[in-house]
Amino acid sequence: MADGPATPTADEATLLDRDQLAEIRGPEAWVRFRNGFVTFWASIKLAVVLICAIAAASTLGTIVPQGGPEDVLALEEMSLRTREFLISIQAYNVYYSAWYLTLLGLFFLNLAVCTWVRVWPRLRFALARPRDLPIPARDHMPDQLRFADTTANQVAETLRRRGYRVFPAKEGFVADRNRLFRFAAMVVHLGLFMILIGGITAGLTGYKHSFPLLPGESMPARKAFEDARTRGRLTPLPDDFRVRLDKFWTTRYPDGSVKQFYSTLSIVEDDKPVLSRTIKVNEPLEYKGTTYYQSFYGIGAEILTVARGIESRVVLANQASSTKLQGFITQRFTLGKQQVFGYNPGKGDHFEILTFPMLGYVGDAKPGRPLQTNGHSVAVRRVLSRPGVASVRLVIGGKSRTVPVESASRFKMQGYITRQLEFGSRKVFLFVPGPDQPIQIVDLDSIASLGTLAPGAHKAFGGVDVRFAGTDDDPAGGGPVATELVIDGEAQVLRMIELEKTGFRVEGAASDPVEIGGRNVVLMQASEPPGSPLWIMDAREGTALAVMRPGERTDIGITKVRWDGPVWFSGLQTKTDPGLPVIYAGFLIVILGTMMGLFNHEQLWITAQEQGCRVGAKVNRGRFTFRRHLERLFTGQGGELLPQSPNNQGAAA
Amino acid sequence: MNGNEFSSLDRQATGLIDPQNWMVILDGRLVLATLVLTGLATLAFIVRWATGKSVPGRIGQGLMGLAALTSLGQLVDRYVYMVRIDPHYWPLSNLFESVMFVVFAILALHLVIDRVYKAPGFGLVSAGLVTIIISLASLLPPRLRDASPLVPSLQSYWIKIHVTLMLISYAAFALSFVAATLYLFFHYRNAFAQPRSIGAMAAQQPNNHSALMDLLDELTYRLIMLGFPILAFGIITGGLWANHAWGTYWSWDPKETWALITWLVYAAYLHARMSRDWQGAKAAWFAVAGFVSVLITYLGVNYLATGLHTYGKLL
Ligand code: HEM
Repeated sequence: MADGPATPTADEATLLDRDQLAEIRGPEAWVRFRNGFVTFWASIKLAVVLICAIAAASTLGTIVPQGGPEDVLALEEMSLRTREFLISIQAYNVYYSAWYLTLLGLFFLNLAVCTWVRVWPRLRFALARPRDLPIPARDHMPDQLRFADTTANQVAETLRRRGYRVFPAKEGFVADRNRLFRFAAMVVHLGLFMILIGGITAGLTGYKHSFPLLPGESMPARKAFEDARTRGRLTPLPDDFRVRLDKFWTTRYPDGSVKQFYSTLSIVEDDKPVLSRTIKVNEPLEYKGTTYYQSFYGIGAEILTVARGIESRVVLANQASSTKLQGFITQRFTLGKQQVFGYNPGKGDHFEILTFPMLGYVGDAKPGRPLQTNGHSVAVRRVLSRPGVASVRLVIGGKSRTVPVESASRFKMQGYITRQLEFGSRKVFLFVPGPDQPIQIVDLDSIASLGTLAPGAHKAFGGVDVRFAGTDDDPAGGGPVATELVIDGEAQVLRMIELEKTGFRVEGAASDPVEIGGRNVVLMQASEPPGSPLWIMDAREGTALAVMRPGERTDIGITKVRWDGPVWFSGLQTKTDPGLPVIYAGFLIVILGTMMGLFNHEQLWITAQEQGCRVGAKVNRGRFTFRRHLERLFTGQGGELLPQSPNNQGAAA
Repeated sequence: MNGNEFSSLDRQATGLIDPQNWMVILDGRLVLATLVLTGLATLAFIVRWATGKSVPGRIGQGLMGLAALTSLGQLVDRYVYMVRIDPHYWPLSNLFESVMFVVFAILALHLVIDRVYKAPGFGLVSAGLVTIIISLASLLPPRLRDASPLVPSLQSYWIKIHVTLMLISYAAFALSFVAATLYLFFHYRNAFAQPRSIGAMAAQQPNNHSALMDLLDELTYRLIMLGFPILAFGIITGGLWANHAWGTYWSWDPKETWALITWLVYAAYLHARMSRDWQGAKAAWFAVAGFVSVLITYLGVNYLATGLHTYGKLL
C-alpha cells in the first residue's frame, strides 16, 4: 500500500486519540477495500465466468415455455418435482426473474470496472507522442529484422509510403499503424452500456400494448396506456387522441395463404380526424411519439346476449391462439353424403353432430330427441361409460374412512386426487390413477411421493398404519368409451375418443373469459375455413356448451345468445419507446467496435546501425499474418527476418 | 440422370416451376457438381496427407476453388430464375437453400484463408465437412427444400440482410471450428504421444510444434474475430427488422436467444484467450462450444420450442 499513510506503531498509537487513529486508519482500510474491489471486479476471468453463466441461464428460457407457472405445470414429460423446482426459480419468466437480472447487474458492474481501469492508461498511451513512449526491450519485440545495407531512413520511407505514421526517435524511428483500433474493445463495451441504458430507459419510460379493433371501433391512446401490460413507472401520459380502424383487409397468394394485411387508421383528436393512413406489416404509423404497428388479425365475433331484458355485447377479438378442447368425440360416420362425428362434453348423454373435417354444426341429438336434418336422422340409444372413481376407502389407524376424489385434470394429469388428509403427523394427499389401481401417497409440503399402496395393502405413514381398502366406482365418471347411435334407422356402435388424446385443437381466436348465464365462458372460433362455427366453451373445464352457426340463437342458463356471424378484426400494437435511439446508437457502436477489432495495431522500432539498421516489430493480435506481412514488406529491401526465439514468443499478448 | 433430385427448385407442386427449363436443370447439376468437386478435393487432401507430397494438396485447392465457383453459379442461377416468379425472392428461402449458401461462403472463405495460413489438415477437414454438409442437405425432404410464399412479416429487405449476415457468420464459425478441432487434435496427440517431461518434449519438437499450434490458434481466433462482428450485425439487423415489423426489437424468442447465446460463447472465447490460464486448449474448447451453439441456433432451435421463427425452415 504505497500511497496509504504508514500505520502508527503501538507506541505512537497510545499517544493518539480514537478520532485521530480513525483518520489514519480509515483511508487505509478504504484503499485496501478499493484495491480489492477493483482487482476482483476488473478480472477477465470473472467476465468469462459471468458471460458463461448468462449464456447458460439464457438457454433455460428456450427450453421452458415462457408465460406463467401453469405452462410449466403442463410439461407432463417432466417429473412433478422438476416442475416444482422450475416454478420456484421462475423458469417460466427467466429473463425478468430477480436472479437473472442480478446476474446481468453483476456482469455490467464487471464490465464497468474493467473498462474504467483500462481505458485511462490506453487513452494516455494513444494520446502520447510516439517518441515519448518507452521502447520495449528487444526481448519484447516478437519479430525482428536485420537490414545489411538499407538505412533506417530508407526503411522509414517505405513505411511512410505504406501508410504508417513514422516519427523520428533517438537512434532511429518509431512507426505505427491503426493505433486507434486499440480502442475496439472499449468501443464494444461502451456500446453494450448504451444498450443497457437504452433498455432501462425503455423499461422506465415506455409502454406497449396490443389490442384488437373491429372496423369502426376506436382506441383512445390514454386507454391503451392504462391497459398496457408493460408500462414503465416514469412513462408520461400520452396526448389525448384516439386511433380508429376505418377498414381492414388482406391480400392473398393464389394458394389462399395470406400475403399481406392492411388497416386504414384515422387519428381522431377532439372528435375530428386529423390524419388517415393505411398501415401494413413492416409499415407502421407514428403519431406524437406513439407508434401503431399492424401486428395480427383474426376473425372476431360479436354476440348479443339478453338476460332479464338487458342486452349486452361480448366481443371476441383476441390474438389468434390455438386451444385444446376437452370432451369426447365419436368415430366418424356418414350421414347422407357428409362425413360427420359426434361431440360429447364428457358429461351427460347429448351429442353435437359436426361435419368432418370442417366442423360445421349439423345439430344436437339426445336420447329421446333425435336429430332430424335433410331427411336424415341420428338418435342416441345409449352411452357406454368406463367406470370412474367416486371415492377411496381407507383404514387409518384402525378407523375406516371414505374419502371422495376429484378429477386431476385441473392439474393436467389423468386420474384423480383427494383433498388434504392427515396421516398421523403428516399432511398428504392421494393420487388415484383409476379404479382398483395402486394409489400414491404424496407429501403435501414437499410434493414428494411417500410410496404406493396396492388395493388391500397397508403401510405406516407418519406413525399410523394406513390400509387401502379399495375404490368406489362412479358409474359415468371415467368418461364415455362408446355410444350406440341409430343412424337413419340403422344401429351402430361407435367408439369414443378423448379429444385430448387426438391432439384436436381449434386454431383460431379465443376471447378472454366472460360471464354469460352465470357461467364463466370463453368464445372460440376456428379461423379456417371461413364460416366455421362459434364455440361457447366452459372456461374452466374446456368443454363446449354450445356450437353456433351464423344467425343462430341459443340459451345458456337463462341468457339468450345470438350470433350474427364472423367479422374480421385488426390487431394493432402500440408503443412508445424513448430508449430506442439510445439502443440503436448502442447497436451501431457495438457493430463499429467489433469491426474495429478486425484491424491490428502494428508498431515498429527502427534503429540505425553502423551498417544498415535493425527493426523490431510488434502487433497486438494476429502475429502469424503480421510476420508474413513483414516478410512481404521488407524482403525486397534486403531485410532478413530473424527466427523467433522462445524468449520473445509469448510476449505479444 | 438430370440431377433434378438435387434441385431445390422442385416447386412443381405449386406449378410455379417448370422442371424442363434449362435453368432448373442447371441448378440441380450445379449442386451435384459442387458435391462431386468437394468430394474429389477431400480425396486429394487425403492423398496429400498420406503421401506428404504437395501436388495433391494444390489439386485439392484447385478443386475447392472450382466448387466455390459452381456453388456461386448455382446461387445466381436460382436467383435469376426465381426472381421472375416471385419478386420478393431471395435465395435463402428454405433450409436447403440456406445450407447451400453457407457452403458457398465456407468455400469462398476457405480459399482466401488457406492462401494465407496454409495450415496442415485445414483443407482436408474443411473439404470433408463441406462434402458431408451437401450430402446431408441433398437428403432433406422436399418439404424443407420447397420454398413457400413469404409470410407478410418477411417481405422486407431487412430480412434479406439479416439472414445473409447470419449465414456468413456461421460459415466463418464453421471454419473456426475446423481450426479449433485441428488445434485440439494436435494438442492431445502431442500431450499423449510424448513423454510427459518438458525437457523431452522440447528436445523432440522444438519449434515446429509450437509454431503449428500458434498458427492454428491464431487461425481460430481470426476467424472468430471475423464472424463475431458479422454475427453482431446479423443479430442487430434482426432486431431492427423485428422492431419495424412488430414494434419489438427483442422478444426472447428461442432463435434469437440462441443467437445471443452463441455471441456470448464467442465473447467468452475472446476473453478466455486473454487470460494466461485459459489460453490454448481451453480457449479452443470455447471455440468448439461456440460452434455447437451455432448448430443449435441454426438447426436445433426448431425442435426445441416454438416462436417467431417457426416458419423457420429459414435462417
Ligand atoms: C458480452 C459481453 C462482452 C463483449 C461482447 C465483449 C467484447 C469484447 C471484444 C470484441 C474485445 C476485443 C477482443 C480482441 O481484441 O481480441 C474485448 C476485449 C476486452 N474485453 Fe470485453 N466484452 C464483453 C465483456 C467484457 C467484460 C465483462 C469484461 C470485464 C472484465 C471485459 C474485458 C475486456 C478486456 C480487458 C478486453 C481487452 C481490451 C484490449 O486489450 O483491448 N469484456 N471485449
